[in-house]
Amino acid sequence: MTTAMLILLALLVVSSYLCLYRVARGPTAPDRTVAIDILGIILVGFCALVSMLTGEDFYMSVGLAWALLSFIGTLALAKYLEGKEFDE
Amino acid sequence: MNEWIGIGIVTVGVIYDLLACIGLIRMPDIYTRLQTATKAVTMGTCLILIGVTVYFGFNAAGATALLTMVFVLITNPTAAHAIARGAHSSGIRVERITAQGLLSRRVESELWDHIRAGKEYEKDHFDHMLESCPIIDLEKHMGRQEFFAHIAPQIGDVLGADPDLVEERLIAREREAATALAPNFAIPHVVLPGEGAFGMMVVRAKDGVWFSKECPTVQCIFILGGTEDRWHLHLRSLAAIAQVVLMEDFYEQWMEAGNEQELRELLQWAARQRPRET
Repeated sequence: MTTAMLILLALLVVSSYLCLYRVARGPTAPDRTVAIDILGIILVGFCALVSMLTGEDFYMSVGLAWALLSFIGTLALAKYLEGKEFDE
Repeated sequence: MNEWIGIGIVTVGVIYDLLACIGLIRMPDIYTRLQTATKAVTMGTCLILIGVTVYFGFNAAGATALLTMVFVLITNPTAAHAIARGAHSSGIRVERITAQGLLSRRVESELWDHIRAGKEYEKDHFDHMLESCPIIDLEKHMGRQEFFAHIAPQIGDVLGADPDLVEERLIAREREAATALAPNFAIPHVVLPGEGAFGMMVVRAKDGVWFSKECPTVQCIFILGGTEDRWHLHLRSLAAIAQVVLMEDFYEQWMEAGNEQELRELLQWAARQRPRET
């Protein structure tokens, strides 16, 4: 049971590293933005898994907050890509 | 029991996430990356969260997981849409993906093929020359003399003339008056003995060719050559080249084109836009 959870966590860590590779390589700004967005969503899944592993429910709250922040961050980056101000 | 069902669903979700991230690495351009990454990751993370809900049942953690799932389902496609719009308006082109191994052409040029096939237009002398003239993409920076020596064999081949003579005449013509008309644009030309020959050659030099102090990096070069009896073609070609080069955004597209084929397509497209006598 714990072993299964650890393997799943390891797979998510591998996914995160793939995202980080894309952030590092680019080649364009939108590529990096997508990778950061995906990284955020994967971290939400990661929080959920940690919550299962430890049985603590506050990790789920961390995940919820992270999903909110990641969404707002991505929207800000997307606006920046369009070359507009944030209130447009 | 519920625990193992939960872990099963979570496993499927994690595999989705992993595959999505592999897609993020493997796909060729931003739009395809968005398409693999955001969809599969939304799916995968939702499965993980459903799994957590099944695992915990409806206590604090399970309810939060459901809430997060609804939230991810709404926000992630929105974010993806915003990124796609941002990418599009920051001017990133769609790569041609199908059959990329066969030809490296953009979607634009494929569309242009369809337009050309559907509507036959009357081609004038300049259009016919563009179909067959040699087009070169120079890789390195060159001086004027070196450049003329480099192109003389090819333009000589087009005109059926001796390369040494062509080179000599090009240099002589350059000495009379500069042929670089603008900092990034030059039309060197030669008049040859004999009759009945006229040809053109186009060179794109990304790193530029040194023509004079005023024009140290000329990047767009049209070379014209012909015999004296074809002087009228020379003048008409000059007019056509002027119309093509003055077209809006021509220079940006000229620098962006990926290879000789795209350069030729750009020129043909631009030539097609010229105002014509009816």
